[in-house]
Amino acid sequence: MVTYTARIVLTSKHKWSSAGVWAAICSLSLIVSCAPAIQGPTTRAETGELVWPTAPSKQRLAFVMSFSGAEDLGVRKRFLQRLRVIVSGRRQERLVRPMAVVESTDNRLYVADPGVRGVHLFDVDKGRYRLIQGENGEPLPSPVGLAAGLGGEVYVTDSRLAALYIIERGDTEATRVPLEALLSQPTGVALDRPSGRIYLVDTGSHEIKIFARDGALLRRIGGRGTGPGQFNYPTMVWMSDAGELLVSDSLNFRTQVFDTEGNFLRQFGTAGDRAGYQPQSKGIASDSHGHVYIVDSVLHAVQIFDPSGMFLYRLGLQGEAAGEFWLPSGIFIDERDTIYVADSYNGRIQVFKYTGGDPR
Amino acid sequence: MKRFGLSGVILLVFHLAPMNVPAQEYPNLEDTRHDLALYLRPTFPEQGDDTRCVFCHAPRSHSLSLGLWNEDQPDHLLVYPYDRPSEDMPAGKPDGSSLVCLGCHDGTIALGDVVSRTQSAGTARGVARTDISDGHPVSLPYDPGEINESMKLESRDRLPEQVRLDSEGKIQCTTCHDPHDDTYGNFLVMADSAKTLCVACHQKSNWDSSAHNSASATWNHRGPDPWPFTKSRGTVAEHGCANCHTPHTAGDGRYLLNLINEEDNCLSCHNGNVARTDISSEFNKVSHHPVELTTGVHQADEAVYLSPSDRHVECVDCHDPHSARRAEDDKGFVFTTDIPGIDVNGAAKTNIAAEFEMCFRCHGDGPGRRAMPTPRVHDQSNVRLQFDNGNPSFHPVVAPGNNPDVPSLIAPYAENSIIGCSDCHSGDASSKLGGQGPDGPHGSIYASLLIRNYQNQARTPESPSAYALCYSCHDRTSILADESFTEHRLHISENGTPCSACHDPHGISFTQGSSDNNSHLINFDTSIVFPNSNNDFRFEDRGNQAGACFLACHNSNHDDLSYQ
Repeated sequence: MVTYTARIVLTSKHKWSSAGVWAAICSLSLIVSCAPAIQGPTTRAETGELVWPTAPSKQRLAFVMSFSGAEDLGVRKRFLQRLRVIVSGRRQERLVRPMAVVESTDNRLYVADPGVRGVHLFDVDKGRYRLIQGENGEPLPSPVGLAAGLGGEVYVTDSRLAALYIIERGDTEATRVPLEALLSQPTGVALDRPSGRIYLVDTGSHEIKIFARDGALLRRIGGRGTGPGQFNYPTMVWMSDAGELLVSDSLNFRTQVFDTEGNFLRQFGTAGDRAGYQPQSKGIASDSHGHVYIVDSVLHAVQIFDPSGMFLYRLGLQGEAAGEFWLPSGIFIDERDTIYVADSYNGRIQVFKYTGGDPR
Repeated sequence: MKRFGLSGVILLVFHLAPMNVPAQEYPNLEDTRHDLALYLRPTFPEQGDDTRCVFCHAPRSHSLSLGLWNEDQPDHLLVYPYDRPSEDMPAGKPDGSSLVCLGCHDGTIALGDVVSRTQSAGTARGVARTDISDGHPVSLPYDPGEINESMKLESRDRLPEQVRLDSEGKIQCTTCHDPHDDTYGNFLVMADSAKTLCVACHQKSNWDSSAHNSASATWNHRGPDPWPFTKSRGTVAEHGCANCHTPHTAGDGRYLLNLINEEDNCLSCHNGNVARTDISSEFNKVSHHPVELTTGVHQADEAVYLSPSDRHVECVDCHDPHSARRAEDDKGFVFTTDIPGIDVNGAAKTNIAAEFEMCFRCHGDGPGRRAMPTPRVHDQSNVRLQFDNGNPSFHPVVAPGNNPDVPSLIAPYAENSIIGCSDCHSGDASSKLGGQGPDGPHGSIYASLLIRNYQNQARTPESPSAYALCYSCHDRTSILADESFTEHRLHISENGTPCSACHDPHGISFTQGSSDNNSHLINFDTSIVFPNSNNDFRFEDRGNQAGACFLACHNSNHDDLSYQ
């Protein structure tokens, strides 16, 4: 523990400045250009106010922006879609209860939202918004998990329809992925990008099913229990850069780590009601330095751990301000360490950035 | 030593159950879906039954850590998660114990169906209704004075003991559900909840005696499932509130309705498959009240007078589903008096006393109404003014007519009779005609939603069916025998003049016509009848069964053409 802290201090020469924040914002792929046209939520980041931890501790996280709909991203609705919104009387371009968020390799932002029974697609580069539902407009009543493949495709789980869907690059609807195993209540999904392997959490059967790209069942991990490699209502899952599979074993109040083959490596976490415990872990992700970010909906926070499970920081508490959360759920981190958190009951995605440099 | 051990156990229970309630008070938790440690217990024998509390009641942490990134975290980050005082909290979001439920019931650990829409704002009158668009609101103060009156909320001190508000008087998930006890299914606090639980708070008038609470009708298993969100397939009475409403997100409808389009909630039963009369197919007829035209426009608490942009008709504008009764129980009134209308003087009222008051709401003074289909000397689109009993003549809807001598009337009709709007405007298969279809103006194959044929074109060959509507009260033989107007046969049979060419069926408003010129419902159709060669255009009343006409018709000039 001590060694780890010391390393951080050694590398903490970088001083956070407004120029630094600006660079951070520019590096965000969701913003079309770096013309200073970004409104609202980024203002505070521009002034460098919203950073964590608070001084005098070293600052490692910066608030970038939050968005609740296409307009916040400068995306205009296409005319026909706008017409449909008027006809149906629904403002579907707004986030209602976002559960998961992911950025595809072609820089599109997808937000799974049971509140609109579909997946929002924000294509900031092309200035387009689209609501993606199932084949022939069939609603997705419970889209809760997202993962992005190498070719711009995005996988979606629907826990109520008990199915995995794929949104191919450029597709306007999600199509069902044929799998060699029945699903009970699929939630989290992660990909091993080089092999295309799909790691699917089946919360209903307390296991993770590993599928080949073609849907062939390769392995099942788990079953209900408290032992290593067993689960009690596992939910979200993440493949780290180091090739480790991180699993939120939600009602065992812990995180379990597996290798890409599904072999148990380690676990951390226990039940408790304070920072550092895992009373209800949901979304899980890691940054390029291996920090593990776990969204906890009881704590209304994102908690950060080192790869071994050492507690580093709690970001957030219950509330509506920037950096506060209301029953948050999903999380996604891109290769530039931009952190997207699905702040479900605030109806928004909050975007942060890890700015602390390499701890090692 | 023994004493020490006991206090240790007490301390342990205290830690694991932070609500300070010993687990053994919840014997009914065992083996329910909320007994989340059920399969784990053998692996945790040392923790005993208390293991099952921790899933919802996060145990008090034994040690505090600030995290290695920060030694200066503010104290408020360390408080127990349920302890943050609610006055610090923004309104309109789930709070209190409901957070514990929603933490799992979000589609991940447990399937959703709970609340998907964040509730945008407080409790002000009129706001609450938009907030429950797809789920019953929670974390809302139960304050009947502040919540929309159409919700008909019971006063707080009269709620049954099972229906509990939280310590701040708010509705929470726990108002309807006891997560520790699944005796009644779905962890509901009352048995037979669709009959008992909703009405604990919502005291809809006359619900107890309504058909929807008592009818023994069942589904014949044809057509779409009338009860898409319930497992029961029993009677309408057994479904109670669940005939139309569902408490959670499934229907995505407003007012917690099962289906998005308002009328679908009615027509899924009233299509001959549950209720015996098929009203659904009436709305496919060429002339019908356009219930399908609007969705989401009708409001339970809307004003009696609507703005033109809000003009609409839904089933519930004429029928109160909470108090509707079978026709024979109510002397032909399937609609009920628990709906708003406009009286003969144009005053808005919240409970109608007669059928016409309901019709006047849209076809009377309300803005945005359409013109009458027939152009007349005195055009009038306000039906209330057409029927005013101060008019020179009017059909006897609001009061008996003022003509004491109508020889054509068929018994039991007489000069002092009163008729209703739906005597003329009703389905063409109405039981009034001996048909199997519904009474009332839902839909008809005849224009203007008329119950029978009513030709209004010039040069119509006379027949019993051409003027079937008029002949149902006014005897055809009498009319054609010239018992009232001495030239009826000439006009109708020989010249093919429709009744409507001379008679305005509703009446002529006193604001436009006079008893000299507009008795006997005379108000000429200006597409058939024109001014004469002297540019005179009128009828003159010259006493009982006597008068004169100044007009041109069929190329025939009438200049003081009189009859007696």
